[in-house]
Amino acid sequence: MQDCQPLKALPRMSHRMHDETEKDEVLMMDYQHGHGPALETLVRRYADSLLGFLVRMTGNRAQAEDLFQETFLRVHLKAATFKPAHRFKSWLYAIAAHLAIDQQRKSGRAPAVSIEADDERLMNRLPDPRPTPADEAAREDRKRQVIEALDALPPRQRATMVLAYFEGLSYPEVAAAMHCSVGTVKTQVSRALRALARLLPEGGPS
Amino acid sequence: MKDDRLIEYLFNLCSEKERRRIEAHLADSPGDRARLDALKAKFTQLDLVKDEIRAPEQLIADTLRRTRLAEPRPAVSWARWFWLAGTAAAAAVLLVVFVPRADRILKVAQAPATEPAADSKVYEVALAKSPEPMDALQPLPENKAESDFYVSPPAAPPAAAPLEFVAGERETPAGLDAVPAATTLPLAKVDARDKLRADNAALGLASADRSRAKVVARKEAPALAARRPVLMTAVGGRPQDADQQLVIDLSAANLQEHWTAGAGGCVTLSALRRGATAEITVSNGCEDGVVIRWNGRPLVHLTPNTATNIAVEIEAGESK
Repeated sequence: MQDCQPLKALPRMSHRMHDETEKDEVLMMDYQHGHGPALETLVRRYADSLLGFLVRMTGNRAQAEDLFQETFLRVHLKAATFKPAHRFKSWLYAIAAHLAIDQQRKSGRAPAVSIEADDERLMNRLPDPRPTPADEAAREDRKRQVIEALDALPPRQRATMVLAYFEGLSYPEVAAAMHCSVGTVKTQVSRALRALARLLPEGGPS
Repeated sequence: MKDDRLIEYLFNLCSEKERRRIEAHLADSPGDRARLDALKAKFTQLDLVKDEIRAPEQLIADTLRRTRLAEPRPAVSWARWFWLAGTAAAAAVLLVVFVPRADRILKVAQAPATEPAADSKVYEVALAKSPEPMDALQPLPENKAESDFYVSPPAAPPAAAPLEFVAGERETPAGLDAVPAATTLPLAKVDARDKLRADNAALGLASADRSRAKVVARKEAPALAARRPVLMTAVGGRPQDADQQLVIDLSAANLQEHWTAGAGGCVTLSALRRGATAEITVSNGCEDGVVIRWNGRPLVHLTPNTATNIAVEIEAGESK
C-alpha cells in the first residue's frame, strides 16, 4: 500500500492567487509582505468607485485620474503603515479625500463653469436617455446645477457628502476616512444638505 | 417647521425621539408634509450625478506601472529588519576600522598634486580567477606581458586632459542646497599606491572573486560646503552615459570600444560626495579588463568578473 502523505497547507507565498472575495485587509497584509498582485486586485476592486468619488470631488475627469494614480501611489508608499485593524476602504478614501481636498485648496474652489468648457466634464459621462431635445436640454441644465451646487460646498463638507451619499459609506466609515467623529460627520452632512437645499433648484429631475 | 429639521428627518440625522416628534407634527400639518415632499424631490436631483463611472483599463495599467516604479518597496518583514540590523552592525564595524585611520586619509588626500614618477605604475588589485589569495596591490612584474593588462602600452598613455566633473546633470536631493550648475570641480590629486595597499590589506580584500580597493582623491571644490552631495557627469563622457551619475573616464583609447551603450559604460561610479563610499561596477562588457585612470594616471587594473566592485572614497576639498 502506498503511503498517503498528509496534505500540507500551502504556505502564504508570493505565488498564491487572490480571488475576488479575499478581504481587503488580507490583501494589504499580503502586499506588505511583498506580494505585488495583491495591490492589483485592490486597484481593480476600487477603480470604479474611487474614480467616481474623485470625479464628483473635482468635477474634472483629468484631475480625478491624476488623483486616482496618486492615491494608489500613496497606498503603495505607505503600505507599511497600514494596520490590519483598520478598514482598507476607509484608509483608501482617507488618502483620496485628503488629496482631493488638498488640491481644491491649492487651486481654489473649482469654478462651476469649468464643466462647460471641459470636454471631459462630468455631465457628459453620465448616461442620458435623450427622450427629446427639450428634455435633454432640461436634464443637462439640472445636472449642471447639481454640479454647481456640489462645487459650492467647502471641500470637507463636499468630501463628507460625497462619501456618505454617493459612495454609500456608513457614517462610521466616513468618520474613519475623514479622521473625525461620527457626530462631526453628521454635522457636516447636515450642513451640506442645508446648503444644497438652498442651492438646488426646486422640483425633481425632469 | 424649519427646513433644517425636515432635512435632518429626511436623512435620518436626528435622534429617535426627535424623529417621533416630527412625525407627530407632520401628521397634523399638511403644509409641512408638502414641504417635506418638495425637499425630497429637490434632493432626488442629486441622483443625476450618481451614476457609476468606469475606470478605463489604461488608467489602471498606468497606476500599477507607477507603483512598480516607485520606491521604496513596501515589504515589511522580520527578514528585512534583520537585514537592516546586520547592515548597521557592519557599518559600525567599518567605522571602528576606519576612524583611527582618518588622519592618514586626510593626510594622503591633502598631499601635493605632483607625484613621483613611480606612481605612474599600474597596480594589480586582484585577478578574477586567481586561485590563491594575493597581495592586494602588487606592482606589475617587469616581464609581465602588457597585453595581459593593457590594450595600449602603459609607457605611452594618451595625453588625457585632466578629468573634470561638472555638476548639475542631476537633480540634487530635496532638502539640500543645489550645486551651482556652472561649478567645475577638477579632481586635482589622487593618491593610490600606498593607500590602496594599506586599505586593502586592512580590509582583507585580496580575494580572487571580488576586487576592491580604496581610492582617495582630493577634489578641489571651492564652492562646496562639507557633506553637500555632488552629482556629476564626467566631462567628455558620451551622451549615453548621461544617465549615469558619474562615469570615470578611461583614457586608454582601445578600451573605449568595449564601452557598450547598453551597459552604460564599463565603469560607473554611483555617487560622489564628501566622505561617501561609492561603488564602481565593472561589467562583463569589458572583456580586456579595465584600467582606471584618474587624472591621467593609472590606478588599478580590474579584470572582468561578473560584477567587480571597487569602493572609492573621495574626499572633497574644504572651501577655500
